Amino acid sequence: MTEPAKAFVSVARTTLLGTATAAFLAACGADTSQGELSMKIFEVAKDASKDLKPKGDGSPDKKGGQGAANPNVIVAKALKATPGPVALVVRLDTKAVLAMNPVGRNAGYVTWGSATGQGLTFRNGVLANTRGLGEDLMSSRIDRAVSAITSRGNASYRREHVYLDGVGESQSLIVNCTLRRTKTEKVALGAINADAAIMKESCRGDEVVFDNRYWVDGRGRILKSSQWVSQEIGNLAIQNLRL
Amino acid sequence: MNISRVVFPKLAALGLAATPAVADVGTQTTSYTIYGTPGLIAMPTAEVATDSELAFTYSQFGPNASGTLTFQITPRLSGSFRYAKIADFHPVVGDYFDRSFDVRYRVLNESKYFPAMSVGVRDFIGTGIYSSEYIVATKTIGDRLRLTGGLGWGRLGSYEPIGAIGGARPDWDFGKGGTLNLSQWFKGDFAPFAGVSYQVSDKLTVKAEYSSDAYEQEVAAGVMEHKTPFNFAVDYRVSPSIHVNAFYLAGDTIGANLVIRLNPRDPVARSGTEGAPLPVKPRPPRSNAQAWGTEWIADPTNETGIRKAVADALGKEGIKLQSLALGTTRAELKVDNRKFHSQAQAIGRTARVLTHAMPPSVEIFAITLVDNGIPLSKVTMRRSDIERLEHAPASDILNRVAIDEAKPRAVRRSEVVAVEEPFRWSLAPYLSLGYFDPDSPVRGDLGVKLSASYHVAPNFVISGALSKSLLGRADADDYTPSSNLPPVRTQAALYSAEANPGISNLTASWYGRPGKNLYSRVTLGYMESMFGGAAAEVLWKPVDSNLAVGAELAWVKQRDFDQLFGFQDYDVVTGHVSAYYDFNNGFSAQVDAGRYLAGDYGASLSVDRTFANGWKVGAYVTKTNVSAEDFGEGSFDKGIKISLPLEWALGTPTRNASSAVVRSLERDGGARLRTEGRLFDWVDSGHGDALTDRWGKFWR
Repeated sequence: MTEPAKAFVSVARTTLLGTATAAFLAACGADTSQGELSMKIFEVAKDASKDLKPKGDGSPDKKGGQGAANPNVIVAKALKATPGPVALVVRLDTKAVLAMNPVGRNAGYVTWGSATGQGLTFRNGVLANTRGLGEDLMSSRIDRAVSAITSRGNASYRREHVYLDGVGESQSLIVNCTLRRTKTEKVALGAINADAAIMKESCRGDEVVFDNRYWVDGRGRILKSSQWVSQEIGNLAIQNLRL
Repeated sequence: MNISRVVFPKLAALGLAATPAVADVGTQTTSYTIYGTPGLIAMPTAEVATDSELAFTYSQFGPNASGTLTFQITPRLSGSFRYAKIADFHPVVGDYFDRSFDVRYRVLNESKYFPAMSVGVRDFIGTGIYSSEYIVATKTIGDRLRLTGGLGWGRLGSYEPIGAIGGARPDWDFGKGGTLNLSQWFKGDFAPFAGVSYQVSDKLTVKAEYSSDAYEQEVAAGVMEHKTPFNFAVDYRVSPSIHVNAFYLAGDTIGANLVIRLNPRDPVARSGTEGAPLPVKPRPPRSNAQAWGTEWIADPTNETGIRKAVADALGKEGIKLQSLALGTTRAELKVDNRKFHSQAQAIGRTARVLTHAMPPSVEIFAITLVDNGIPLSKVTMRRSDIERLEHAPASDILNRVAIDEAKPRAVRRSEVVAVEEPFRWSLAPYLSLGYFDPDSPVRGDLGVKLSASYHVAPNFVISGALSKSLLGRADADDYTPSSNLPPVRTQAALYSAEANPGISNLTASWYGRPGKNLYSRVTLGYMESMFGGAAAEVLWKPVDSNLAVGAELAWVKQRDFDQLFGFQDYDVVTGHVSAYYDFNNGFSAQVDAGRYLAGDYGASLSVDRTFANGWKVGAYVTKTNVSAEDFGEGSFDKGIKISLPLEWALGTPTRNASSAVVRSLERDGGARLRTEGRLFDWVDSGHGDALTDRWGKFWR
């Protein structure tokens, strides 16, 4: 086999292993290590989700940030698991936690994967589509949202989201959004430590209203965010630990 | 056997997330009567159920019981099929089991000042126990209150009639049932009825009505008294899909019903919980001339390696790579999708894998869908489009692909890449429900089934199943000879009694592509529990056509009751010419004309409402040259068919479906050979309409 072709085959193999849910062990290459990495982060996230679960009476944990419950410990573990970008994603309705890292890049889109098979695709940090969540955001047309949010100015624009309905047909949701720059806040978590402007995005459609928030630094990077997926899934809190 | 693998109660137990669709015609309800129809308690209203809602109702009042299936066929039209037990109906016969059909139609939708109006006909084709017609109006006041008033004829005109049309209601000789009582409609006495419903909370609705039904037959039979025309009920919503009603009838009888509401538009489980697909891997820039070179084609080990990598990757997705041929700019694949209900999803996942495995010079992906070793259609796309449109709406890539007729040649064993173990087997429990003679209620049969298959070639399979009933099978005492025709179907009880274990089926099936747009099947062996022999079928179905035409010819012999290898004396040549048409508006029809198992000639018509997710709800009638007397009760064969894709119920991708046929009554006339692998269904699922209907999952 000639060298380039061998490389293609090998990449195909390793990438597939890397994104599959369980088998990370064999083979070698960058993508495979990402797979192993996801698994490690998954373990970390499992600890984290224990801590994030609301208590029975809804009151905060009295012990505060002790031992495994200390978010700093979880973050440190996650950072240690990988040298590359890593994020914790929390579904706000259920407090379910996913640890994710990039598994694919195509033009301006970056797809992040979890060890348990979920996928989120972002454009410059703005959620473009989701997979494996159930009522997924199948695709979107969000060019103006992306440029407004990352340039940190006030704006209004339309977003188009595409979902699958109960019979599996594509349905488009069009919402009108206004974006407002509010205060500036320091974001310090994991390997991230920067000042960020809090951008509040309010969107309204025929039967739906949702709010998103983005912490955007001076270079237009979204450091953390809360972004709406669909009526069923609600908002995801996306916390980058290392960009 | 009438209903197989019934999973409805299980589905309901999971709790449906029923999100009401946008009201098309207004004045909708979730309230069902004791007869399992949308309405009050025993009286109808002008309300409709949500479009495409399928409701199963079991009612018990006093000693009477009934089970009803109601389907909202269109936003305005709904139909019901009912199987009822009327206790001590007849001094000699005793309990009476009755099957009846209803239809109702919304004539006028509610407006600010005018009520909604509907007309309906109850029990118009059975033996006429419930025969009645009505005109009814319903007005909504505020958010919670609805008032209903109407006029009823027949049974609904039996209490305190206020007038009559055309004198006395004409007698109707229902004979063996199954004929239309058109001459009676809206004739004779008519009486007013009225009612009110009030929604107390999301979960609780109270209902009261003034009934125009005097319950003459029940009173005469002594099973109830009619003390007052007023009926009362409460409707409690246990979950979005389950309602329970308790009611008090005629000041005398209490009863209750359970309603399970399903809607093909509201999946039990949200789909899409399967793992995310592999991201598309874009190629390096054109400027990287070395990567884009074509010299790799000169070394055949490259093709072997790529083929293996693609086969492995697709195998993990549940897709079997049948063949892969490479050119410097083109990859031609045949894939057998074993997992995804959406063939488009299988193609999308295949394309994603190819972006990782193919050298950059390969620009065209031509993916042929294969089922039973037979190519069904070829989807051709540009890799550049796959790269460019990965994150765009699925309709964008649909506009860029070509769906064409696949080369009409079966997959050869020698070309298969992902070679599988040719022998497969499984052992699984089964549950079948059915009734064996006209006077016996539904019966369940629970057992285990051992199935095995051997693939001689991709398009040639030998398969069989051995069944052992554990509980509830009929015995020979249940059989009463009652047919003037050759007993081709009415001896089910004898088979059930003697065949345990029995060979349910054992056949060799060979599928082919005799030419462009043509598909073929030859089946030899024991095709079904009661018949075995030889059958051949051919189907003409262009990949993008709404019309398909097919023909089947079979010579079959009746099997011994022990369901082993022996045959009885009766044999018959049977066969049909069939036409299939998809109206592209959610409805499809099929006509089969030919000779049936009892040697009778005739035709069947079936009309289905179909949904993109694979649900089908339909009705069929078969009329042959058998007289109503010879056919027996019901006069001719008719029934309801439901097919439910398991993906809808489970949320995880699967190509399996659960099908049920509810016959009004199975007799010997108009009976068709049952054989697996009939061409239309599986060929159609790989053709243009099925692909585009489910295209939304291409990128999932």
